[in-house]
Amino acid sequence: MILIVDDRPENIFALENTLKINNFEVDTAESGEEALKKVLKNNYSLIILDVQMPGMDGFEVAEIILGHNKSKHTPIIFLSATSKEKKFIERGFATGAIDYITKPVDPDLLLLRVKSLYSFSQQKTELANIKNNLLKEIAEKQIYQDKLANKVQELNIILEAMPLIAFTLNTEGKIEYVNNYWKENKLGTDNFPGMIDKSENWKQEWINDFQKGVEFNENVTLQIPNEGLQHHVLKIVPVKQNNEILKWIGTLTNIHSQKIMNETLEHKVIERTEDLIIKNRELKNSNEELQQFTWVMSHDLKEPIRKILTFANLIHDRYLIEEQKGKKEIERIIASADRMAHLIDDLMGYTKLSDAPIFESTNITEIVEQIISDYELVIQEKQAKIIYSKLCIVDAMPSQLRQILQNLISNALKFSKTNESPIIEITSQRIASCDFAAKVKKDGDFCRLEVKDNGIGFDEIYLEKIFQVFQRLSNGHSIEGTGIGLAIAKKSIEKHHGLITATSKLDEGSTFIIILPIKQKHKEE
Amino acid sequence: MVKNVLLIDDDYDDHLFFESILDELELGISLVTAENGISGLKYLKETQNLPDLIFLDLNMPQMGGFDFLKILKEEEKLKNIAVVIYTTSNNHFDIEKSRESGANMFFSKPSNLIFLSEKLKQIFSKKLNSNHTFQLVQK
Repeated sequence: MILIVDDRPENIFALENTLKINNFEVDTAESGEEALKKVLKNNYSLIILDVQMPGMDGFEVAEIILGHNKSKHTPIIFLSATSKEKKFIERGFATGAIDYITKPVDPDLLLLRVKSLYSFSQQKTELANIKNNLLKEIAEKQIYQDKLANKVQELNIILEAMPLIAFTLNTEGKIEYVNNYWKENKLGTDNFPGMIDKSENWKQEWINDFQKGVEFNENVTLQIPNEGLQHHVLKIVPVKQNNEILKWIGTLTNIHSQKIMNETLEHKVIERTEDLIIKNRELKNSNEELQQFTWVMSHDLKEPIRKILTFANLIHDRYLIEEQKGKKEIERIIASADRMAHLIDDLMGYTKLSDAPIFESTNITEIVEQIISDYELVIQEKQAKIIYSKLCIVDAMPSQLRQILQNLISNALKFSKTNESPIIEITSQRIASCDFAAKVKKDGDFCRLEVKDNGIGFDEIYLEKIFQVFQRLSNGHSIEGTGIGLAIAKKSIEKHHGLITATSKLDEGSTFIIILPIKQKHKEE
Repeated sequence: MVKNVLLIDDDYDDHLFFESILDELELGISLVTAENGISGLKYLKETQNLPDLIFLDLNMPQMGGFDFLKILKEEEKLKNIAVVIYTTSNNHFDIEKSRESGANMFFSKPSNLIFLSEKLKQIFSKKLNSNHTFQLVQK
């Protein structure tokens, strides 16, 4: 758009028409002040300015327009009718105007000038626009580059700050950056990864992973100055943007102390285990020695106590039949010595229980038959009757099971009523669970074995106590005669992972109930 | 009926108890005593009159009961003699070992001579031999 500034409307009118006919857009102002206002508001490609105007003259207006940042490149043509002298023309150009035309104006000439200046102005604007765009692009690129540089710097700071050896590789797999730890360890930067260790094993794998663009991990040894070869974990990960690898970041973490620690630990564990085995063996030996000692001691103790008993009995039976003097005292000696003999017997039996369990398939029927055969003399003498059917076959320690049953049967024979011959019934059932009240089940996992007698029985308030060893040892007078046989039986049954209990009524007999698993987990074949 | 009995025991008190009971019983049984396995074997090899029954203690100096029994069972001439283990022990393991070694009876030494006398009477009244089933005699 072209701005025409003239204080005379007729001048404006003529010029405006000429330009409009030639397809220019035109704006007008009738004073310098109006012109300045419009210039501030709009962008003009050309300003045609009258020199003589009331108020501000053309020169002043031009100076202001060209002094203003926004409009400083707008071309200005002065038009003057009166100021034709050279000094005016000089002043006009001095303000920065492009042309100075004196009136009368040849319209064709003016039009040509306007056209050429207009297109010049247009080109200038375009150039300015291009320049602006270029500047913008350059600025954007600068920002992007700054950002990138920041990122790289950030990364490098991070890599510096990490307490491990770190480096980056470019897309060709060559070292691009190394941190201080790398430098401290004097690894050099040529020929990656040749500087890391002498082993060739993993290098082909690295090349494969590198070509595939995937993370690489490897345990390597690194020559560290003053410390020698140290175990490290090498990790190299690709840094990707839009699925394209920009670079690789690698780290070498020293795991030497951990590895050494682990090895030491393993070594220590082995050592300790060996120690334990030795200690265990020693313990077993000393346990065996202790058992042997108890065994020998008990045996040696038993001999004199038997003598005391025998001679006391002899005096009692031979010389005190008629004599009442000293008879009670001798009887008390006999009772005490008798109890001591029992305790020693029990001690011997209890000692041998601590052996490791070895289970084998055991037929309880055969054991019962053997015990009956062993006690044939007593059975005959007491006219006892032992009734048994086919009994369970269980995984057990046969000698211990025999000892238990022998104890129960001999107790039943021993504590029979004086006026009634003993009847002992032995039965067994397969049951579903390890529970006294469990239901009978044909292929149950447990055996319930019962030994029932018609003897003198005992008061059930003693039920707990008859199975307790120390209770009996310290308080021998609660139930006379059974020793710690039942405590031994209970301990044996527990070693078989079973249960034992009893029911009884005074003068009506007792029933001992044992639950045993049919199969033991650790069985000796 | 048992006629000749050999008692192998290092305890002289037991010799005396046996002698006095045999005297009392008046069964016409002759008793020979030895104080350990070695002298017992020596007697058995020399005598013309083998015993019907041997009472054998387990714990004895020089040669104990089990070693004696092992040798006895290897001797063709002697292996058929019935053996009663006669010991202070009343222990399960000694009992099993006696059974396995071929003894015929395990007699736990009683502390009452009346009981001993009764049991000996019972034993002597039987015709014991080495095939006799193993028996336990305990108070």
